[in-house]
Amino acid sequence: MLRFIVRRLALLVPILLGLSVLLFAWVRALPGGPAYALLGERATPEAVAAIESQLGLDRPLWEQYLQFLGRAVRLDFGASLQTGQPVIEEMLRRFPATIELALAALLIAVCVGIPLGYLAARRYGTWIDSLAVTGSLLGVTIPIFFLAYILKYVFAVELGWLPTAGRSDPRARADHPTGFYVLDGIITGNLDASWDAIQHLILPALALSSIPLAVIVRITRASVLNVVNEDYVRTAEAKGLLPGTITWRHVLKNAMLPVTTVIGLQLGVLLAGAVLTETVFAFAGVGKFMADGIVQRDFPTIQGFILVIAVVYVVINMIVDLVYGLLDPRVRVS
Amino acid sequence: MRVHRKAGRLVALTAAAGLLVAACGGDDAGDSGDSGTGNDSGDPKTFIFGSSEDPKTLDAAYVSDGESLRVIYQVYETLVALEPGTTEVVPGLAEEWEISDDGLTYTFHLREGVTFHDGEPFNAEAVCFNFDRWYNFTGPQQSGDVSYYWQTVFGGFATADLESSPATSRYGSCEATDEFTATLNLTEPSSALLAGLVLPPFSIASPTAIEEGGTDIEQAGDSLSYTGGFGSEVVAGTGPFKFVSWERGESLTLERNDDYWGDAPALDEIIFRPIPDATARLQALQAGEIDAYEGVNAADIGAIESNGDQVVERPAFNVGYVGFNNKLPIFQNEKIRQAIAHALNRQGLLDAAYPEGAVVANQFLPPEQWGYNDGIEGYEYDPELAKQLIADSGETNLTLEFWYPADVSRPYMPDPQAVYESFAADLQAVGFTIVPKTVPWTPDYLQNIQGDGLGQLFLLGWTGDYADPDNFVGTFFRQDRPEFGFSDPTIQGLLNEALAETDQAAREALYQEANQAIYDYIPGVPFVHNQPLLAVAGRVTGYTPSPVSLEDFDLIDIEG
Repeated sequence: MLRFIVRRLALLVPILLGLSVLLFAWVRALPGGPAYALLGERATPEAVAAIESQLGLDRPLWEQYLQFLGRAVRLDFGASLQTGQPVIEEMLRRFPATIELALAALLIAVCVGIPLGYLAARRYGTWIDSLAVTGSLLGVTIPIFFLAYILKYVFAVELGWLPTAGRSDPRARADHPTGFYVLDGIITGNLDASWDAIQHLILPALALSSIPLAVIVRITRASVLNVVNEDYVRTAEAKGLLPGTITWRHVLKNAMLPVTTVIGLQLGVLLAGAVLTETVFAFAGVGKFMADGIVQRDFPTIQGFILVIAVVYVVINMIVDLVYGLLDPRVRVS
Repeated sequence: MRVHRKAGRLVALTAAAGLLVAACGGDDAGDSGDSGTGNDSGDPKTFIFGSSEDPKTLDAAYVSDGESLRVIYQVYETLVALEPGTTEVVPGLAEEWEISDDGLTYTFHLREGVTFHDGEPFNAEAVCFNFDRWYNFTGPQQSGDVSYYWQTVFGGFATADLESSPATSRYGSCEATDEFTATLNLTEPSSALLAGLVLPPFSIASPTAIEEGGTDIEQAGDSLSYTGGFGSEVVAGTGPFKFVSWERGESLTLERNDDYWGDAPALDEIIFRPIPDATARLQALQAGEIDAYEGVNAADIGAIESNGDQVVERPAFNVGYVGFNNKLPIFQNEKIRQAIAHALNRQGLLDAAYPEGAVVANQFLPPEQWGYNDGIEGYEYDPELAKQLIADSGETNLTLEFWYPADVSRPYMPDPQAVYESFAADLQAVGFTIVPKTVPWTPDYLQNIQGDGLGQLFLLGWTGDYADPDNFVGTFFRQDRPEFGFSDPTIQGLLNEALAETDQAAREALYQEANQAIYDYIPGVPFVHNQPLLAVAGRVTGYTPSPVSLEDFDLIDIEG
């Protein structure tokens, strides 16, 4: 097991090295390079030359790359051009928001997706099944930002039930010791603040959950359909076991194996989707920061974000493989 | 190993089950509090502005972007201020001032009884502390994107640390003559100085707060990092609102300064919420979560008004123009310049491709700026006259490259391609052959046009930095510039004379004369002053749009 983890982590090195070359090359390939990105519209030729010598951009490329790599290893991606604060600090400040949102979306996807997929399989060929299949097709294909605008229009603008933007009502001036707003309310004994945070989470989480939800429904349905036709289920039925026992111990437990893998993989999808969702809902997470960074050519932020997300993605996949091994004794991680 | 794996499996299953129970059963948690999307009477009066992004820092000396300036303008004050909604300079922290005849000494008589938000007294020493701080910026602080406005108004610093640092400075010294008299000595006169000093980057901040917070800038990788705490944790000006808290990306809160020397604001607090997406800002306004935002799309005007909210037009402080590269022989023929001026259907373009509120420009100066010449009527759209002028000109080769920038939207030119297409059609209709030429805005377009003078006909424009005519016509025509490629002694003489003149009435007359001279020469054809649009909630009163985007939120009130 330990050897497995070490090997997977070692695999990160070439991935990140390759990525760092790409990211470095990309910033140098920007029209005008970093100096123009820094100066924006005030980029006179003299100012550009001055900035380039100030930042060492006139030195050989390999030397610049080694410097970039040296800093990246220490998680120093420079300062965000949007805020003038170190990128890593900005990301740490915003990660709780993204994690909170991704977890909320995942919970919706799992809580709705598994029962719905199961139901669709057990009612195979009925209208419930058709509805689940069509709905999940829609969930995968509908663009997140479009869904987000629709949700906001219906539930916030027209019905006024839920807020359209942000993570909390700023007038409440609640304390946020951890940055996880729902948790913060509980810690500080301010349940109103938690409730406020949950209300702000619902619509973005719904929008973000659309793709994972659809995928989970389809995988659960397919997997349950496979399992219910297995001999051991028929045997269990023949033995006269209670339907509940068959469902939980024989069908669901075995059908959950592929679903677990998919849930893990969806975490990556959630992080990518967070860029759009957070922007549309003005939700102050890393995704929105990244999207703002793209608009404003904030290249230190974009570099840092992509490197960190790559690490997170690889680590999540590793954890999924480990959990898979735990759930299924036939899979040996070594 | 076997036992371990079994135990692990149990843990995994328990965890998964726990998660499911927590998630699926969790929606009845919490009590039913107010959703917080309404503002009942009796509550504090809170004005929530939906900004497009966070400020960079609230250290006024380091900023030049609109979102930072907007917040800073509510918290800090400058020696001289603007009459709300105009470009007229009025007393600010200085009640009155005198300018010596040679234009080198400005004596400011300061308001007494003013205190900074941190309780420190405002006096001449504090004023000079701030000026000396700016003048003594070193290293990265001299970077053009950090101290842009100091360099625009005063030029250089005590030392020139960067290659780009201006070599000389207009700033000489600041003396606290007595407790409430500050004397500013310049090395050369600049009649645009007062108009520059109203800008938020010249805000007077508490010296104690500056020293306590720290104002360091460090080079971090390929960019600059504002590591000082002044402007993010410690903020102390003299303005009507004081800093409370800043949760980056989420909200920035100000509250009323009860010790303010002037009229007490009606609002209790102001909150700035960054919402980068324009459609999301519209929805937040419709849902009552924000009270105002900038950057209204023309297509959204109907939706805003039908919701009972207001669309506010900010007076135009920009100009878009078709420039001529006058060093080319064809443009040295006056008849050709006149022909183009009469061939362009500017009103037609504005009707088709600009939002409501855009007006045809006749001068390189917006009408709100003093120095505008009301006597100029503008070139009439007359294709027949244009054809006649071309025939009279004797030119036979009528092929022109028409440059326009790709992939960019400017305040004066939301859609450059639409402008190009409309004008190219106008010019072809009178006999010109137009060759389109387009390159990306950054870095090529400005470099090609302004740096290298490669343009022939080209689209460009300008948004005013501060309310002085020199910031417009002086920028374009006071010195030779490659983009226009001409040198007219009459125009340059008038503009230089106007900049050195210290008598306001005489200056105004000189700029009006200069505008007439520019109009007669036709170095290019100004075609639009575009008005930015703001959306303001129906219950808000007193939102006074400012041509230079400096709006006083202490004039705002909220009904009900």
